[in-house]
Amino acid sequence: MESEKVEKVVPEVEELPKAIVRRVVKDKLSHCSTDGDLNVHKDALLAFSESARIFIHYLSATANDICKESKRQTINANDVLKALEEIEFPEFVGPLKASLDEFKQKNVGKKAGASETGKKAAASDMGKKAGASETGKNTGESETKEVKKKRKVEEPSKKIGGKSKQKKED
Amino acid sequence: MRQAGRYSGMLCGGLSGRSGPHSLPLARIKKIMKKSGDDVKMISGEAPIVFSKACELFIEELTQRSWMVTMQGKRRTLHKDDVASAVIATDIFDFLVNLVDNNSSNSMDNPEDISS
Repeated sequence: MESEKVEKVVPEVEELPKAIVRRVVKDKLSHCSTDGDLNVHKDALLAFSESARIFIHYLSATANDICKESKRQTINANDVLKALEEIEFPEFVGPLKASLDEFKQKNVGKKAGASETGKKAAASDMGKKAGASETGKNTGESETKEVKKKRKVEEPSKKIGGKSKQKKED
Repeated sequence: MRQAGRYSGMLCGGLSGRSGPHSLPLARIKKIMKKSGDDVKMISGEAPIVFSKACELFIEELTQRSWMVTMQGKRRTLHKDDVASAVIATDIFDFLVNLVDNNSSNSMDNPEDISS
């Protein structure tokens, strides 16, 4: 923290697209100022872009902590929403939930379409899984192990073209 | 849980074209997220979407506060210094203070100007 300036010139720094940052800024400014157009200096746009990037870092790290506390490995939308409250941006949570709900509704249709075309195996596994879960509602681990075993058995038989072990369990 | 990988792949492929509210590219957001920490490994498909919108809201908030500084100075062009002032003046932007410090030390030779 003294006179040393550690300049991290990392060529891999991912920045947000300038055009989009500029659009967001200009849209907001056109709402704010009714007088006329406010200009935005190039350096200011860079500052906005950098700030947004650091915001993503900060929010990610917080969401990651929340995710770990729940002993999960995948950061999900809820973790992010909780993180927003932690870093004192609770006013974002409402509009974000609305945006997310919109997206989920749109995506339900797409997902159904994709599963019909490509993933018949997954569907059959899901059916079997559902059946298994009805009988014994314990941990999901045993079910996943069974699924794994089935897959391992099926794959080599598919590749080689039908060896001796063809287990068709219905 | 493993569906998250396929899910996000689908999303990136589907949303790279035209889709309404999600303007910031999800793939890039994911890359930035992964750089925020070594232990950030798996990100659900929905998370970048929330991030994209959160970023927009954040930029809007920062823009508004910076604009207020510009207006106070009775100027028509929003400068980086206005952004810096907005950051310093707002508690919740404390995490940006380092960025502002770097900028001010690079661009401004007389830090006393800010304090006056």
